[in-house]
Amino acid sequence: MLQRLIAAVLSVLGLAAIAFGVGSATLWRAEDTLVASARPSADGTLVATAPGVLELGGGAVTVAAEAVGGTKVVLAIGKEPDVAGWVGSDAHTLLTGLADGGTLSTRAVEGTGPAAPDAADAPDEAPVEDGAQAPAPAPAPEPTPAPDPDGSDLWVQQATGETTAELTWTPEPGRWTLLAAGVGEGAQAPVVRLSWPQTVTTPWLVPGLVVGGLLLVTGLVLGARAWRRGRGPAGPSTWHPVDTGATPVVVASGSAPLADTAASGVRALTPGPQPTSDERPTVVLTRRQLREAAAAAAAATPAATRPRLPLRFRAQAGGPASAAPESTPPEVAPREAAPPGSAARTNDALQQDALQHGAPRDDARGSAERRSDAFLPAATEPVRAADQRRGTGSSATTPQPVAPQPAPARPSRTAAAPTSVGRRGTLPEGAPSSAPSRPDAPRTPPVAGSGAAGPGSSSTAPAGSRADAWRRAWGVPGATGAEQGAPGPAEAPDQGAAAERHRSGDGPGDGPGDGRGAGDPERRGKDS
Amino acid sequence: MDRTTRTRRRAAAWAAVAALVLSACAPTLPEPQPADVPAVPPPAVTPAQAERVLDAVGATLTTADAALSTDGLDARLSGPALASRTAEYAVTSATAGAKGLTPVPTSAQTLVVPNTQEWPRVQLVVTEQPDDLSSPRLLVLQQASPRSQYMLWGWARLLPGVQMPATATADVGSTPLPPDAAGLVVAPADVASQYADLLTNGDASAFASVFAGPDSFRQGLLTGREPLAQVAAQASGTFSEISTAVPDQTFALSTADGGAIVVAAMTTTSSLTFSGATLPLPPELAAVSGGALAPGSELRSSLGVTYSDVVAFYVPPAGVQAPVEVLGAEHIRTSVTGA
Repeated sequence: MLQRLIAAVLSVLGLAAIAFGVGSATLWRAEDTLVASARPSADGTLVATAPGVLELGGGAVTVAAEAVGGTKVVLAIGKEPDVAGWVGSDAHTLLTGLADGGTLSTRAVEGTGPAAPDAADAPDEAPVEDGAQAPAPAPAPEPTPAPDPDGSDLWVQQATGETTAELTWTPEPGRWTLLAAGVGEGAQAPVVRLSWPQTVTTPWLVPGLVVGGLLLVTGLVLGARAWRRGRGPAGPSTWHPVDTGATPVVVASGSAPLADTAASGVRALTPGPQPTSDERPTVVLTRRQLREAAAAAAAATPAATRPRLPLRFRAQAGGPASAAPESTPPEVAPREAAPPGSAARTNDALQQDALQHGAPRDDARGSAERRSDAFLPAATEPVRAADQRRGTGSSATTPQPVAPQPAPARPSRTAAAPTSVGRRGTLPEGAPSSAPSRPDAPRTPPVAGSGAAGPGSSSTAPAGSRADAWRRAWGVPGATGAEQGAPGPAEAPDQGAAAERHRSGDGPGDGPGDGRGAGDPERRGKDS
Repeated sequence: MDRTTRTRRRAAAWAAVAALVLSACAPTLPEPQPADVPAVPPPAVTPAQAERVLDAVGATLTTADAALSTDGLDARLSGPALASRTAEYAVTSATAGAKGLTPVPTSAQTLVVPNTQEWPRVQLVVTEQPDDLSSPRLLVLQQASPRSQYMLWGWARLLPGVQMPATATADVGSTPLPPDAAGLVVAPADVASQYADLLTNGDASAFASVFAGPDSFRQGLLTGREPLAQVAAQASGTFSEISTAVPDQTFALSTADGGAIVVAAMTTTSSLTFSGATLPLPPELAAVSGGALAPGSELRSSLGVTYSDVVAFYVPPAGVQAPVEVLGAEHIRTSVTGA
């Protein structure tokens, strides 16, 4: 969630940066010309610039003047002393600089000479810094004609026009100033506009694009990753180890109904042993597994008794018995070739042991399984499970509801077992067996051998110590089912586990016909 | 208290930082940054301007010369030049062109431009040689006030064999000197009067030693006096010729060696009295009489002739044992009186 948020923020920032960069080069790009104008603020007909004003824009300046009264306009550029000398003591407006982006600041200069006696009389506004003021008040009609700078030898450049005039001045070293004059009858000082071409740079365009692009890409990448993680198929990486004290509890509650049917005492027993029996800290169950387990359990519960059949069958048959159901002709051949793995062999060996000795086998089994797990996670057993399933039918599946929860598995089993067989037998045994785990396990099996249900439950309990836990982790309730009926407690869990594994293995693609899975039954058959 | 001051200080610091940052962001309005006022004023006119002025003068002259009319002549001519040209038009008109106009070329060979910001401004121009192969003219252009134009104040023919003193180039400008400028052999204001005295009194003048040996202009004047002196002698009359400097019509520009070129206006008046004889008045004299004397009329007692003179001198710097040299002069009859 946080990652997505960060990704979104980064993307938005990136877009904003890009937008800013582009905008700075287009929307907010400065004008190509710097234009400033000024209305005369003083009496008289003359407007002059202070030295340096013409060079404000840095480049060639284009001067345009428009006569306020529609009279002749003269623009002239000369050396500062020349312009000043020509203006002399006449009232005039001095352009002193930029007031803001588009306005020239002006200063009204009072006329002191005899040339502009009227202007001198008029109350003159003190230096006005606002060029955009109202046009100069119409000066009192002057007795003398407005001075005409047109054609003076002083100017180095000049433009004259009716009502408007324009010239372009390329800066030269020195102090040059502009004189603009309205000439003629009733002439007023003209409005002067100066414009400079300016080189407009876009310093934010490239940085904006680069930074924005980086941010955007980063944001998108992060977002894509987060999205894929959220949506994509759960890969192996999604198998997080989960410390689920909770999971078992949940299932326990789910399985409770089953347990309820059994004696309340059973329940009491189960909770106790569970924690003790589970020595390993983590029980790994994916939701899917949970789901499957639940579904299987739902499907299988009615057929809880079935497992007995195969198990019993096996038990009765002893070694050889197993061969009958397990050996499926077609599967045999390939499997043998496949499982040369030592683990498989050890498994077989252990199995044999288990068959013969019962308890020890189980224990060994557990370890063997553990080992085999390392190499062949679900491969070896599933096949068997499949076979058994066929043979056993749903017996393997029945326990499943129990399986998902490592601890609860037992109660369910116990529950199932007692219900079907006899509570008492199971109860005492189940309790001890679960607590001591392995050590107890061996004891019970022999008993189990005699009593179908009782021993079965007990046998599973010991297996539960590790192997059972593992099974539970894999949601293998089958063990219980198998155990119940199974004379060989060792095998029962195996089958159950196998069944489960097989189921879980479906996802990965391990078919029931998998080489290894097939190999096991065969071997068993041989063993037996 | 301590804490508040500290917070205030911190706030102030942050404010300052913010202000700096923000001001850095704000677009700065360009400020006028005029070039420094030069320690030495630049030339009053650029070569282009000088050329334009000369062209204007030339155009005015050409127009007026063609019409032999003084109309519009005062737009570009003033002082001795205007007076001389006006007289010449009259003479030329009266003589039907027999007595021609003094050629005044306006193409510059050398410019001597003042580096001043004051008025009046005077610049000197050495022109190319005129078409009649007479000596180049030294034109004197004056701008009396800012709103007036450069006027051709006067011209002088460079005397034969004269070497113009070295002057600063037009893009540097020559310093105009006041009439009483020190550091010269003779103050500019006194040069013309002393030379006038020399012209009037000849070698008897106290200032004979100031000027280099008899220059061609002076010699020409002296030779011009002889016929008139003879007439006076024959007709029991008198003849006198007096030169005087025109006050306040002296301009000086420094030269490269610290001396000065001084241009001054003078007036030369010739007075001839006679008795027992008649003098037929030639048309060129009658033309400048202002209509007082009819062409061909006979004078019985006196003749007065006034000349307008423009003389250019080279005045060496003080401490140099060198005489003042006459560079050029113009001597044009501007009025005649008689009886």
